[in-house]
Amino acid sequence: MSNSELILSIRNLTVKYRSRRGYVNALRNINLDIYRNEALGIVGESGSGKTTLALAIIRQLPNNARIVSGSIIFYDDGNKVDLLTMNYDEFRRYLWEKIAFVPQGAMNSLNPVLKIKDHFTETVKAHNPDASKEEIVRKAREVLKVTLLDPDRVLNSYPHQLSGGMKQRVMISLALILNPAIIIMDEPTSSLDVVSQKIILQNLKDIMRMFNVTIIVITHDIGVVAEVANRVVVMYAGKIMEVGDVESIFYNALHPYTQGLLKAVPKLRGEAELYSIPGEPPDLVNPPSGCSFHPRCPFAMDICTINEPSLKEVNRGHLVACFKYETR
Amino acid sequence: MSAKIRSVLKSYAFLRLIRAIVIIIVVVSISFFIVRLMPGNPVDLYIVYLETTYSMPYQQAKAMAAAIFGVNLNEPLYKQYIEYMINVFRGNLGRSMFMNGMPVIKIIAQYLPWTVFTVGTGLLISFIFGILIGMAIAYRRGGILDSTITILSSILNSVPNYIIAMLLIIIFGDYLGVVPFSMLRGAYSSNVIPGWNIPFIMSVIQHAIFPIFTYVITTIGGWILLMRGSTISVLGEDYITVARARGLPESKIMTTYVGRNAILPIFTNFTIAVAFIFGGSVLVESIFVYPGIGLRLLQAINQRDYPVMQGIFLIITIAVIAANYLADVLYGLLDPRIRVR
Repeated sequence: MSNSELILSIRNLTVKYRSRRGYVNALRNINLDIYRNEALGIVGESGSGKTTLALAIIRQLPNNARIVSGSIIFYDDGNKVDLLTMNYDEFRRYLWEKIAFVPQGAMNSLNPVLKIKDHFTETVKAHNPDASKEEIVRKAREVLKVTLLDPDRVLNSYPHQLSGGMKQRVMISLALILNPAIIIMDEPTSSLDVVSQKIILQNLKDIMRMFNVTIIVITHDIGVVAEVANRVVVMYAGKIMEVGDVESIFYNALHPYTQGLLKAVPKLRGEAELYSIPGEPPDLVNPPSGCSFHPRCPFAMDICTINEPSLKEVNRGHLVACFKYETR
Repeated sequence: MSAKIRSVLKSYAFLRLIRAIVIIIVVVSISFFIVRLMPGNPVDLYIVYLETTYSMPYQQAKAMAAAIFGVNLNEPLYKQYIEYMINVFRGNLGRSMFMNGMPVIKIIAQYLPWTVFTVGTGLLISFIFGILIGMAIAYRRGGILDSTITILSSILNSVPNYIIAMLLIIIFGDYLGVVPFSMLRGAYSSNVIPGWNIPFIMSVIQHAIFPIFTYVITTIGGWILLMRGSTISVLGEDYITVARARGLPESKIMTTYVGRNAILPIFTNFTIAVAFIFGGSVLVESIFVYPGIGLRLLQAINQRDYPVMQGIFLIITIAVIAANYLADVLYGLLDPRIRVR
């Protein structure tokens, strides 16, 4: 994938949250390239900064967040634009038209007093005031069929009349209505039953084939990543620990944290005892010195407690931030 | 029976209407029996009063009392009750024991409009401005404006309205001496002719402005605090973030997304407040000597004028029940989640 065309390039992104105890280092010096038409999975435990990264890309960070440094370059048909520095009115055009976002728990993502139809018309009208109602409804029917929903029933329903799985699919359809270049999905399958999960994951693959869209899936569920992603980013304590295509991450994980994550997945057969990474997730107000993972790392060396490893390419397209692979 | 009629009979609005009527009947019945069965029954007391004060013969006094209370005292209690109920539904609420036996319904018709005008105007002003201010400070949560207005609102919300009324009189009437409050008694000055003419309307506004101001000052804090809290909780909802992510203009988000959802829980409080318009404010109307239903109720209580008291209580009850009914039906229109099919 690394020879593909760049679509989003994140450089030195650092985000902090103001809190009573001090600044929470939610994202620390994130560098990440995302390519056109790939399916990127971002995994990590809660508090690792996955959602903050997504919200930073669409500039919807909460009020107590501050982008300390960094740039997010979006490659728009040959033009390079920095999403973080352009003025917000201009940026609003990029929202949903270029980058759509389906948040965690899509059950609460729809306005309870509006019909599904109104969500579609309002979204389209915000970007194209001249669009006719018939045109919008026709397009909405199309994208609803993509997620296997019955347009006649869904369009005239209110959100509370739909099940959780259906609402999630409505959100995915809504994300498709303007043909965006990127769709960011935060935990698309959490809090859904396994049948809905299966439908949605199957759907995502079809959507990628049909719509020429880059998908970023944020999840703590490594199984979801295995199902849809072709490249994986592993985050820990606001930093990227490892990046690689899905095969190298699953069969040749380099970072001790990734190895631990993979071992912690329950298996159908084999050892009965489930592995869990020892220790606690770090406190992001006072992150550990050196490598954030060293207090929990079985391979920690002296240098890990002092210096922070940077992301280095070990194999082609496979990057890891770990001193284990730097000593030679 | 056609399907349409059947669906109306089964509808939520219809069922609620039946319930509202039943509640009103129960309340009317209770007020009838309380007056008739109270120790020191006011009907008997009135007969004695007529006999002693006007040295009326017993039969004449009894007939007069029967006419005043709208009951036939020669009939057994259950027949009196049925007659009373029929009278109430015809709008005949009996007559005042004083004021030359003026019909209660006429008294209410004379006093109620002034209360509806002043309390209603006050409610509308304080609701509209309270909602707007509450929403504005919720957007600036944590700022200086927010903390100042929130503290001010809490203070205003906890000061009783009669204190504000008295303060207004002390400050404007006595201390500054700019407003001649003794000239502002009544609903309008005696030198104007009621009707659609400018001097009359000006006079009405002059007389009403201080009661209205009092109502606004004492209720606006509550609306501000309610709307602030409600807006803050709606602003934290996912669908607001998503609406922004969808690129909707902020003006649209503020109205259809934040405003509409934030106002829903407050709407119930609003309809309850509407019901209290009809109860008037006894204390504020007495302090300003404003001839509303509250002032009249106070006079009736002081005079033990039972038919008038009963009539006013009945009006208040009907207003509260009607407002609740309306709230239920309208709430369904505003919030699709509680719409019952």
